[in-house]
Amino acid sequence: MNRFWHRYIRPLIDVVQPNRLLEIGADSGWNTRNILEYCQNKGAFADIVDPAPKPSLHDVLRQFGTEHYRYHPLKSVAVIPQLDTPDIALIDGDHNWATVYSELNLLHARAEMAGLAPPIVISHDVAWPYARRDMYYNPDDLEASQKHPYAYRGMLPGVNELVEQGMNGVLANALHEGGPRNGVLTAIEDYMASAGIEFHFRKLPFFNGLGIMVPAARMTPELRRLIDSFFTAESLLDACVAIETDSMHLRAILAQTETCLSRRTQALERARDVIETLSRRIAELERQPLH
Amino acid sequence: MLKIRRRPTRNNPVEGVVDGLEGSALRGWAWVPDVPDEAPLHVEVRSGDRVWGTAEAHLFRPDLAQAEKRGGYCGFVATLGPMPPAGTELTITAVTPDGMSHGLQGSPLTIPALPHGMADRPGNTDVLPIPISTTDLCGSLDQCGPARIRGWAYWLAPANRPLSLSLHESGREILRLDTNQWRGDLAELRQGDGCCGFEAALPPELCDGELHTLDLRRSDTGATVLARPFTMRVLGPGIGSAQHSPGPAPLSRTPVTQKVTLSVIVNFYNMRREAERTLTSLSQRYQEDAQDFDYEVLCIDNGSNPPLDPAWIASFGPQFRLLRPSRQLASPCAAINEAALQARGDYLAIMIDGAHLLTPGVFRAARQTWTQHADAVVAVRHWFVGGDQRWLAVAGYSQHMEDRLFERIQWPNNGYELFRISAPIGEGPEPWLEGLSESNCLMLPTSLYDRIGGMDEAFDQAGGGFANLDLWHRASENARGPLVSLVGEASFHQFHGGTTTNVEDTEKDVRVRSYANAYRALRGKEFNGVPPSRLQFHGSLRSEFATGIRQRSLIPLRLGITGQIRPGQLPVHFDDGAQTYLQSVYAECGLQESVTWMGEPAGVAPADLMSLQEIIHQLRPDAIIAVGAEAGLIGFIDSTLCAMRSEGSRMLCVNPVSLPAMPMSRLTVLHEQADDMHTLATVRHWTGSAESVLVLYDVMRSETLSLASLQAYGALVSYRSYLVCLGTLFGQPWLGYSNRDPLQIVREFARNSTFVIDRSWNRQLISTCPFGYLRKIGGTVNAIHYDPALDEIPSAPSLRENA
Repeated sequence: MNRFWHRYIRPLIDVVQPNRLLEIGADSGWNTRNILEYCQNKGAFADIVDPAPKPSLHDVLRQFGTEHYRYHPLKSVAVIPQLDTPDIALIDGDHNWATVYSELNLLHARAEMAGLAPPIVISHDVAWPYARRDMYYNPDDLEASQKHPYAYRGMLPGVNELVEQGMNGVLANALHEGGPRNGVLTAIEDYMASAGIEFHFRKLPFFNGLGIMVPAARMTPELRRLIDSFFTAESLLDACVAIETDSMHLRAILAQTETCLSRRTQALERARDVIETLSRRIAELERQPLH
Repeated sequence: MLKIRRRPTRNNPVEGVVDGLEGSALRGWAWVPDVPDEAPLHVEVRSGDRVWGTAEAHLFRPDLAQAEKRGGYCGFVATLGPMPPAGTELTITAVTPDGMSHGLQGSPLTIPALPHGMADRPGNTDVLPIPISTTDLCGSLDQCGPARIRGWAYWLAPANRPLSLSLHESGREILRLDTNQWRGDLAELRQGDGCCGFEAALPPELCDGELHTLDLRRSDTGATVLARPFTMRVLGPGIGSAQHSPGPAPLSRTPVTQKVTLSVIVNFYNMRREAERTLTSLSQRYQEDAQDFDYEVLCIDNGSNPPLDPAWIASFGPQFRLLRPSRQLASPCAAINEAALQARGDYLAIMIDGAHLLTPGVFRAARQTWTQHADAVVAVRHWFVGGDQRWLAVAGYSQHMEDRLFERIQWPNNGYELFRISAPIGEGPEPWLEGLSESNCLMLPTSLYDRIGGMDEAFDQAGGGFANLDLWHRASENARGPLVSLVGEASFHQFHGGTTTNVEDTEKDVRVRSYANAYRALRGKEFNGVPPSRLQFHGSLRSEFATGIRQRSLIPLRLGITGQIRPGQLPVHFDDGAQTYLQSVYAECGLQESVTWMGEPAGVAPADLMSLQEIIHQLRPDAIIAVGAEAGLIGFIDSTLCAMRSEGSRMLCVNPVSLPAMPMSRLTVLHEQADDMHTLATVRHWTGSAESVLVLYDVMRSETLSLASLQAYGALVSYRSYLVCLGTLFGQPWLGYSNRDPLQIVREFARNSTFVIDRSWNRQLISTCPFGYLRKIGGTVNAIHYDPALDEIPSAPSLRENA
């Protein structure tokens, strides 16, 4: 989500000028830093929710005063009903239908209780691979009826089934892509279809996808112009450049990995020669008569 | 001056973080990863020489358990007293047993200056859960509001005495809580014996939307069990927004002279075909013992095209008459209320969907109930004619086919034959005894209907949305008599174009969710059905087919509708309890003992053989280590490798018991105890530099299974490969009685390792290794963290020198 900050999320926040933000899924705290810098500059407040963040999140948090944030080491569905309604919620937590759908409905219900419109929701992973496929960080946290059959196997674009050599194979991914109640984007669509209020929803389909969901009650002409500007030819061309840059970085890492693999292979080949030499020598010694 | 080390280093064994300051409570966690069993660390909060607070890092936190930090028992909450002034720089350190102080990540921490009015911010309430912690207690306050308070607590040391807590406000006890409820999730987390939960309804005085400062204390001593009092704002029903309504205003009725006992109000909209059967089922000649029963049937035609004929309605008997509502609305709520105000009955039966017909004993059962309890609310459960009508609609089922089903049972000769051609709503194992969200024949005292305002006309969606569920819920909340769920009598939904019953799953999903949202918008809370604990069950089973869908095959009639198979939902049709039972029976009968491969016992279920074959096919392991495995399983693996033409794969069998001779060139047999130090060294040596290593460990037959043993063999498993623990299944009598519990050790191992329990291999229902497929997903090395020093292979002479 951090890759969307400067070009998309920060401008959205600048236009909306939220007093209260919610971040679900802080992980390393890259985006949290951006959010808290905004809060510090504007006197806003952020609720940061992540039950299992990387240790570096705490490095980020301690750089900011606690008058600007509250950190909740808890699951989002447990925390949201206890929080004040944010103006903007950034969702990048557990990437499955049941969790995202619950998060959106809990935010909606909380806003209703306060007589407010639901927050503007900026959500990550609305494109491949988790737009139409569930992933469960901890499958046992969900009821059996809330999850699809899954396996710790990877994914490839355009391949419905999981494959051993695919991406994110260390995570519990739903066996199949698509169908009802499957994936982050499906959850957002289902929420909008049943919420009973009007939304404006746009999707940036790269870097795993960024969804921008604005309740009609929170839409302004300025915000609409900004969101529309993300989809002009010029803006999309800029996005192409960013994607290309990212791709080049990945190629560099791939090259580095190939270097490591080549060196390791050569080392193993040398080790095999050593072992064979020693084996021959041992065999020679064993053939010699004992004195 | 303290010697501070900020991060764990070779000399600083402490890992820990200061999470932050909330009020006067400083939270965080700390432990020593290399010595996880050591006593909890002592935490000090200082500025200069002054100590502002101390704590022991022994509190349980689920997030720490998940992150594998000292099993979750290393959280701390240090209460600062008095509160240091703003700007004070606090140093937070953990003290190891050798007396050394080690700084935690997040230290130093500066006391912030609260902005003006911050303490009174509306949102400045505590976020739960809050740990319960004293020198002899451990627990958590998990929830406080909107209606209930919930948590758990138990004595740290074994104590044969009950633990009672009390909730206080301004020093006054307002609620007492016994911590003796069993909770499966606590038992799973091994919090005490699992019987340490508490839960109670919050007193109404707390549900006023105001800010309350509360404290939780031990009832016997009055000592507080929280680090500090907590603040909560609880919004009770109807509080929080003027737009939320608890229900409509009471109905006002003009007294009638010619009263009857029961007025049935049944709503029709474009369902002439279904109405005929429904009205027949309400007639005096169909309902048993109804000859002397004084009742009326008010039939609403809510805008049908063509409209229902009043003469046709009247032809069902003198009790029947047609009503046309004064207003044509998509929702039937107003029409039902209008009919209800014309009703002459002491009781009303509300049938919002006229496609439901009844069994013949409904009136009799209701009358019997009212004889015993005049204020009882009687609910009739509903079934679907033909079974799952939503799927049937997709598959090609039609009203014509449904007519054939009715012909088959010669309806209406014996109304209980309806159970032969129908299925209960839902797929639960106990269709008569479950909670109830809705009844399509809800019978209640007219006075109650009026008092609660009848149907809420604010439910203005087509069909009424959740109006019928809402009526049942409000009736249950306001009833002065028991809530009676009839057993053996039911309503049966006929196939028609209803709003949710005869549409595709996806469309129904969206529609029901929109109804649920509309309910929440109206009531300010989520809809909840009435739990079984609040119901009384009256009746008898008049048909052997009424017992439930699992005891019989549905519909002994071939309709030839479709070649499709209904897409099943395993957790719905066959829940965890059913699977556990099935597996227990399998284990108790020892069926796995009769599974053989080439005449030798395999010791696992056939589904496990298939799973292992698939794993081997996926991984193509260079080395397979089988600990305690049966000869048949060894042979099966060898056959699998041969079929894969995996000539290079080796196999090591570690088993203290002699196995039959197995002439396999790839096999090495080690007749030793698996956890013997020399055996482990031999196994490590045998494994050598194999890149893909699979380990199968028969935990049931192992006499010496231990956590250390699993850790030793787990260390040999390669990244993304498996440690398969064979034989984790045990029969029902083992629960609590056995002195062997391999599954517990397996789970403990998985909690503190780079493995996850991969339950996707247990989908074939009968496995002798439930929770036994452990996949190694941690320990990756990427290019950035690559250690090139590992490439420095010593040359042959240097190796000789070392030797």
